[in-house]
Amino acid sequence: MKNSIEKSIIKKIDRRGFLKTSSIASTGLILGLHVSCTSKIGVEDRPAASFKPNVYLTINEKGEITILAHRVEMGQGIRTALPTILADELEADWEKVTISQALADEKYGDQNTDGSYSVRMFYTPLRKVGATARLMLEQAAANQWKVDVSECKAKNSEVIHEASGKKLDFGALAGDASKLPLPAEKDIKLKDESEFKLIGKSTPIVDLKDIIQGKAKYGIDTDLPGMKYAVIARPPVAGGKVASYNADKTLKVPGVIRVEEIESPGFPVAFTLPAGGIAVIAENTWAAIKGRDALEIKWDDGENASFNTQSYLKELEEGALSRGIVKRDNGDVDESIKSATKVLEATYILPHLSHAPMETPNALAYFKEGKCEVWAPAQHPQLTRKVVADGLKLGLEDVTMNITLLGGGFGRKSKPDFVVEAAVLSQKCQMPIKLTWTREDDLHHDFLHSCSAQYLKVGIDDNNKVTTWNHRSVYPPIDIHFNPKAEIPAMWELSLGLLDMPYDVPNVRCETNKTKARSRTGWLRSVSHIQHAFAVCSMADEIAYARKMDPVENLLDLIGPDRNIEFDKLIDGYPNANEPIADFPWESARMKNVVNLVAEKSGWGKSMPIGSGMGIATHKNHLTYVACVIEVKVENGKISIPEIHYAVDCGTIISIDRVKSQFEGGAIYALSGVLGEITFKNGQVEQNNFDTFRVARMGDAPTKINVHLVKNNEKPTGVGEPPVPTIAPALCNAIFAATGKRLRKLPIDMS
Amino acid sequence: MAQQSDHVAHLYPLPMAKDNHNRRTFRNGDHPVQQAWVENNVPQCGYCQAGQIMSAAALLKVNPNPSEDDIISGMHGNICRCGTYNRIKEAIQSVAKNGDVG
Repeated sequence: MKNSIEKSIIKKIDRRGFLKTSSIASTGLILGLHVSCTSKIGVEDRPAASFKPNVYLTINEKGEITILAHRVEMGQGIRTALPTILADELEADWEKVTISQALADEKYGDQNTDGSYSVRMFYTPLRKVGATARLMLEQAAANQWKVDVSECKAKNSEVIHEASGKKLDFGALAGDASKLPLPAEKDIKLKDESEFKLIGKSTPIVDLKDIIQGKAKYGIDTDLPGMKYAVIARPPVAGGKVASYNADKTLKVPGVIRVEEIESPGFPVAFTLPAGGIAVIAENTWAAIKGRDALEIKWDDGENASFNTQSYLKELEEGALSRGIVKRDNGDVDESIKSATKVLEATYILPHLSHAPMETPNALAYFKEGKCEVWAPAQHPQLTRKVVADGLKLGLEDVTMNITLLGGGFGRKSKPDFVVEAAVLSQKCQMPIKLTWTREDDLHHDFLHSCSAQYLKVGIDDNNKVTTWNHRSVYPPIDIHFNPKAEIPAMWELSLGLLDMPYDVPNVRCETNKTKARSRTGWLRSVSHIQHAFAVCSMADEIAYARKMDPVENLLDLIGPDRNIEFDKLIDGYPNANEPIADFPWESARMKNVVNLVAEKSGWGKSMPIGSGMGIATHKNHLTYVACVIEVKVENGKISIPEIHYAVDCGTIISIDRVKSQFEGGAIYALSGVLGEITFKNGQVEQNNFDTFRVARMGDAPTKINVHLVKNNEKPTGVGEPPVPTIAPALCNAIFAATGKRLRKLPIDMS
Repeated sequence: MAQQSDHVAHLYPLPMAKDNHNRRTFRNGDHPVQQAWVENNVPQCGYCQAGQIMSAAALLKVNPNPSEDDIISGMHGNICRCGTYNRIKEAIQSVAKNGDVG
């Protein structure tokens, strides 16, 4: 997800002219994308090095290679994927590579690990860093041997002179290489794909051994001598504030040190500010929680005191059934529907969902002598650093932001509210503060994926062709965080699967309607693709049955002839996931290819016993083409999933195993979204923990998840979010095939 | 959060644990369950995996050859939001198949 805040504070990498400078150290070779600077890196347990690794790559005289991971690891494998890209081009011996986590600093380029962006954004720049270093090492060897550089070839951390058989280790060449001028861009030759040793393989994640031995350090594991522990009683209703409070009993709880009030920002609740409330600081988390339990607080619940999910969903549905604000209009929907021989209408209702990462939000902050250092599991390091500086009224240079491993993110941890909370408390108390959110805190105060209502009307003519498509989608805009006057979802929200409906239908109108957020809302893994794909892919299946067509044949017909779909011409301001459509065209042939592949691999069309069925859905998102087939078995109203098949075209693949693992896990994450929901009563979240917020457990998992990857050399695209959108519609389509029952509302209810 | 004690995995609320400790598992990494976790590339974010490993080791200790349903019920208390359940199941099955359950 990209947003305006981010654009205002982050300098985007100039992809073509990225190698503007290099930093030359006396004893090693350092290459990067940005101007050298001397700030230290915040990882203390690296091997002693005689340099300051302020850029992506460092090679020391021992041949030890350090690659900086500047993006954030939350289970997607990016701390491994990006370094393997660089290391492969470098011809590094992977065994000699150490990964070091970067601090938050704009000199590293975009660090906002969100929007399934990392590989797409950094694949080519990091290859060029590796290739440049390789060429300089080869040149250093050529100079020593007094031969032409074309005779020298880097291989597995050595440079070899093929004619004489001479070899020099990268370490022996690092000093000389660092004194060479940067090669011209035209001389930098990227490897041929056939020469890849790491890219396209399945390198195990660099943290694997630490994880299985319990040594991996997440935000929750950080500590400092003398640190105190905090929890906060936040306003139970979004936009509420403390009216009055009494902490006498709290201060008598053994271990409680002090109590601090934090100001509430009003509504909408910004994700860049603390939510406010009363903080309890104690010698340990348990005492802080007991102290919080003893607080007597009178809340002013504010404007959302009467917010109830049930009535809000009715409001959304009314909006979906009323004439809307048109955002895509091709042909003439009103005229064409008159000549339709069949008209399908459906309303789709989806619930609020919580990110609920296993590691709840937490942060450690130490404000001392006008500077603040923070450690947190934050998806958006540079924004986090900025809002901490703003919240403490410090300069950016006075805030050091350390990124830990994340115990899950899913979009929750790109909102840095929890880090600012810790920082504000540390400033107030003048001591290191470790802030913990309990599971209850997380479910009560998450920036939820919002509930939504959608209406779809489709016309089929007497030739059995779909001629009319009218889709209206209503939900509160996430855009309100960036544009406080927003009354409808922004173009970037609506273009996630609503406006870029790819079917070859001559008359299309896509609309939205005004609605007001009444709770904390935000983006969650695949964002509004969740609801849009549910409606579009469910309706596609309804069309198949209405046209008496096999659902796969129906989809292929709907997608239509091979073409590049010019959404930039059909939709004013179409963002195409923030990529030029010329570089990342919308190719109907690639979508049909994944549909055909998943049909073939899943054994589509095979005979199924009574009570079993298969459903299909296809949806491009984050520039990745995905088709999914789910097989279900329904017995006495109980649903089980013997198999899921995905076909995926994400262009060039860095790690086959990690792409597969994202799809396996994404399927389960999406299944949680059809099982559970967050609801509100009197402005408060009704669910407290995993007993009432249902998430998938092992027994809910499909027996088998098969991921079929399309092999090609297209530009790499995202895989973190693309697994999610197709699951709910494919499942509901399968349930229809098995039972004849059409589910248009989530969470699913088989009664 | 699970803690090692006589090969029985304990689940108890986090605040009851002493602050500041790491996730508990077999620390030298050579337990057959840990080996199976490596071979199957189970972890994604990894946060829940120490607990998953301890539950799996405890399950295999009392039931060295668990059926799929036994695994599902034995592991029911351990949530993984990354969704690594299928690989966890395969890793447990591979340990059972190899016969050395640690």
